[in-house]
Amino acid sequence: MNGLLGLVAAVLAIALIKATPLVYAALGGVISESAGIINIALEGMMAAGAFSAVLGSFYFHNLALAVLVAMLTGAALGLLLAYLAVTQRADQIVVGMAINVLAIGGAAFLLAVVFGQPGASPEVKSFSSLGRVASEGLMDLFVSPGRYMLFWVAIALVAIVHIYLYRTRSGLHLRAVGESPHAALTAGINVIGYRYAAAIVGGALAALGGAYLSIGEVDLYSDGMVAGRGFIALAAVIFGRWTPLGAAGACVFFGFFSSLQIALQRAQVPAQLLEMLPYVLTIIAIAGLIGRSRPPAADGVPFTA
Amino acid sequence: MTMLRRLAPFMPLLAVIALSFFIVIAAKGNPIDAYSALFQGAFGSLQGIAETLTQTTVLLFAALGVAIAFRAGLFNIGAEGQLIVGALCTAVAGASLHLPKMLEVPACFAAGAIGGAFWGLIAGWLKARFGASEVITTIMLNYIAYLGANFLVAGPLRGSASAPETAQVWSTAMLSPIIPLTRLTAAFPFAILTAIVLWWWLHRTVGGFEVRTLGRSERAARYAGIPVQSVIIRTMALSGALAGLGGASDVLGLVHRFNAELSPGYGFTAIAAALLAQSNPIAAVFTSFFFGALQNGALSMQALAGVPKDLVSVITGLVIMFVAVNWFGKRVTLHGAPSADSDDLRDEPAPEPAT
Amino acid sequence: MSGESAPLLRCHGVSKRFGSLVANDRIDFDVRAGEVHAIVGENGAGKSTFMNLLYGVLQPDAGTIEVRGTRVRFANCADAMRAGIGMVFQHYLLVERFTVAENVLLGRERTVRGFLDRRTASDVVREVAARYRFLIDPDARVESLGVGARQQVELLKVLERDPQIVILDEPTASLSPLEIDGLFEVVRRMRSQGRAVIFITHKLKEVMAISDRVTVLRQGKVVGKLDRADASEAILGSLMVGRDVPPQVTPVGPEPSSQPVLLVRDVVVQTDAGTPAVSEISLELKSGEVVGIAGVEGNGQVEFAEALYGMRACVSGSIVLDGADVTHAGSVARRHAGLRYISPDRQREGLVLDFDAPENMLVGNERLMRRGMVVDLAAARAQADAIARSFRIPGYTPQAPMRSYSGGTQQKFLVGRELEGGARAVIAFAPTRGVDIGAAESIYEHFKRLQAGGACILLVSYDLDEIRSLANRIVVFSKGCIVGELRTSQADDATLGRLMGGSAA
Repeated sequence: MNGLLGLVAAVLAIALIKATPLVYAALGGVISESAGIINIALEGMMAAGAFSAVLGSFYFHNLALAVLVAMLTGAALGLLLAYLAVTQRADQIVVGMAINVLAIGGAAFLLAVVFGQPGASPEVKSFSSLGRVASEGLMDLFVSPGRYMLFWVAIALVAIVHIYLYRTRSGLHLRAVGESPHAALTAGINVIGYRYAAAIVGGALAALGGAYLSIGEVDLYSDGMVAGRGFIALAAVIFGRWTPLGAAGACVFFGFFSSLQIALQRAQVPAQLLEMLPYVLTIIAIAGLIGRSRPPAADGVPFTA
Repeated sequence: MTMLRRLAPFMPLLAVIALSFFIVIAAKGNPIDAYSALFQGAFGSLQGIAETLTQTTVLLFAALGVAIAFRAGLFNIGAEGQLIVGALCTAVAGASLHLPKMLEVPACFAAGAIGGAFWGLIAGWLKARFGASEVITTIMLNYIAYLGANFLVAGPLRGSASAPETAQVWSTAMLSPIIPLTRLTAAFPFAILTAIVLWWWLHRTVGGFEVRTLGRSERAARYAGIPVQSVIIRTMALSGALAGLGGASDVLGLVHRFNAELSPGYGFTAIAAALLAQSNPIAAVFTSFFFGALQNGALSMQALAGVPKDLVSVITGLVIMFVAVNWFGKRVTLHGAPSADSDDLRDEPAPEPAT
Repeated sequence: MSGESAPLLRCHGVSKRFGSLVANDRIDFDVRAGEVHAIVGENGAGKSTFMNLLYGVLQPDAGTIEVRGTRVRFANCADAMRAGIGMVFQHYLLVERFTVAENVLLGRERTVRGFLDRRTASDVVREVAARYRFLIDPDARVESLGVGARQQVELLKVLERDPQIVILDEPTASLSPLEIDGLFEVVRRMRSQGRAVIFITHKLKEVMAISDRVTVLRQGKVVGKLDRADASEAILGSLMVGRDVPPQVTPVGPEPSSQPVLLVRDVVVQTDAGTPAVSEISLELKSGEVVGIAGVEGNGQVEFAEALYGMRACVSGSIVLDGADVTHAGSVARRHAGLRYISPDRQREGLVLDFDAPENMLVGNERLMRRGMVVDLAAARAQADAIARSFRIPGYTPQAPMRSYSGGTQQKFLVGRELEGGARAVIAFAPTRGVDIGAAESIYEHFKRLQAGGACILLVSYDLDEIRSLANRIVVFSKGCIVGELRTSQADDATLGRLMGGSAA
């Protein structure tokens, strides 16, 4: 590929790759919010997933198990969120903040305790050890599917979540729980059960996004590597109107800015201004200036039977 | 009130400290050693105490900002960003203005307050005008502030050849230590004074009354003829101004210039301090002190007892979590007074962010 | 017409209490196949509680329920549904964003190969709708539908399950006359299909139009059970509203002078949703007068009161207080001019329960009770103390939060605050709701004193006894209009009941 076409393909490839961790976390956010649980904790769940994936890879030397460990960690945090939000009826924003601080601090703490070196873990087995990077372009995604496995899984998940939410009974029930829990209850739907399940699955997915960061893109965990992506994912959920396709699209859109940033580095356009755009766009979106932005009607409201 | 219920406000702290013991043990550390090292570092010497109080100063300003927003029923997660903007404005003012000390210091603090107020105002206006959740907007604004500050100090506002930071502030802007060889400046008593004044404002003035009424019951506020939108905007501006003062005290007292890394997450620790204090300005003095001691003592804890200083972050997170929980059937709300669970009182959920 | 068949549903001695309040007291009730049985009563008579018991939302404390001769216990709605009972709630439980079909079939969706079968679902719903002649698009989103259509969706939810017993809880509450006719058609079809229909309402005209039998509830007890042939609006009104002891005509307070204090002209108010709540109401209150507004809840009283006080804008019309036009003034200015509002919701609106008594005196008054920017706590404290003395509040401490007092005491503080400090016209909305007799008497005493001082009171209440014992004149609200005005001495049970039931004077 040459010239302009090559450049576009390269930008697109990087955008897709940058979007991948966001997509996982955003899907997790969409699922839990569809059931009515606000999930501010995506950032913390990603960090927990990133760290535990490295831990898993370190101890088991097996990528599948490492991913599993990450998902279980995320699921556990989701369970915690559900317990506090649904059973304790604690404020979901506060609880989300708590999980964020706890997870990020916990990862840093364990990093020092387990590996003895603060700041970053040693290198572990990762997806980047599978396959080669031929040309840093779009074709890589197809040529080295093993290396980019998590990318393809993400694409599949977007479709799966969309089909689940809009084409299955269970998905309809989950959405009903988030829109009108009392209507769902009188229709015989298990509101509490769905909320717990949604939070748990949401946590697992967000953690998977974190795992991509640590053992998908690179091969270690370092302090602060999530760098706000959890909040960008939250922004993508809002920007994408709480739908899986919309959120994924928003993630790719935001991924473009990372990609552009690299491309324009040589043109000396300030990187930070581009990095700011996802956040600015989200503010504009929730101010209702880009169409009408409405979350599930019962989002964030504790359910009293 | 049963004996147990009286304990409710203290449970978060007690539970967390107990839990931290177990965490240290699980990390193969000795909790006694860890805490005594922490104490040593935080209070063991004059330097230690001074440094603890120095940390407390910035935390207190930020916590007051968060607390005042909570009292109006607003979640200000943006203290970090407001602090950064305030600090930047202070640094710029300090480097550009060359006034005698009596004027320079107040001017710089004012610049910090105005910068922070502006940043808070954006979120307040978005909420009042569009119903946009202040939770989301303040989080977004945090990142915008951080990135924007980074950009400015690397480029247009760069004042130093060696690092991306502003020029050093004018000599009259620098606060001198009130205890020699420490970093404790007059900013500390200023912060205490601010807490007291804020308490007075909240409980003795019309403006404060309106904030408290709005925070407890929006319907009662409307009944009372309180201009809700206006109060939201004003409160977010005030909240931001307080955080901005925190940033200002950091610049003028500690580093004397601005670089984007100046905050080790003060804004988020401040949220924990405000929650633990149940948004009471006077209690915030003590909770800020608690977290200041933690932050300061953590370095000693790591050096002497080998327990990683990140334990402090874990404790902070646990504190926030335990504050939100229902203790003994009595949920400790964000505004302070406990809300009893009762049948005829439908518990209004804490401020619903209009996402 | 229903023949003499064994009842499909029978209740015997059913009781339910909430704390010290007996909501249902030994109720006997039955309904047969192919019958429409109406249950009537005022607000608070216990109708809704009884329905919730029949549908499994609540469980009875005593008594038995039998369906088709078998004793049943409903632990939840699903049990009741399995027993063949369907209920349409007064406040619709619909998922706004979902389509009609999705709402109707919620929990029982049609699937094909594991996935939702939208086409079959639409067809099923269309077919049921056609059976009852509902013109409704199964694929339309509920949020786009008006009230009448939404009710049709609620009805479809029930009818699709083919229940033998159908309960309709105040189904005509927000319907237009045309929609009501449509509903009655549906009810008649259900009857001819052999179902048992239980129809809860407070509107006597409807009872006479559609029911075969009527049961009248008052204060939780059954006070009458009649065939339609033996009933009339007057008889029903009497039963619904009357007292066991004939009312004593208590002296009403000082004769009002001819000086008007509050003049309301042609006021039009809308609900939050933008629909009309109050249409062109005109009222005049003279010095020392009490005018009572009677009417069933939900006929525009709340919107009217809020508009008078300044919490809600009037679409048109004027309000004049002591000669000054306050139509465009805010509530603080109106308060300053002497207008007060005893809010019907003391817990969430009139008072801030977490504040102590003196601080509650400041709610609404904070701009009036101050010195510069500092609130005048001394004055607030003095007012709270004065109220505690004058209303004889036991166990009063200034520091205790309002929450710690009983409902009656809280109400005393609320009333005391509104009557203090230069009140000229007080809108008293349900001033003794949920309040014990002693506190109520105390409140009435203070009202009389206020009247003697020349102020006037607009008393909005759902308690006719209260209105009759305080008011000089009674005005009846129905659907946002005044349907009748009478002197208290002429307001007997039958007339009032009829007017409140929606008939014109």
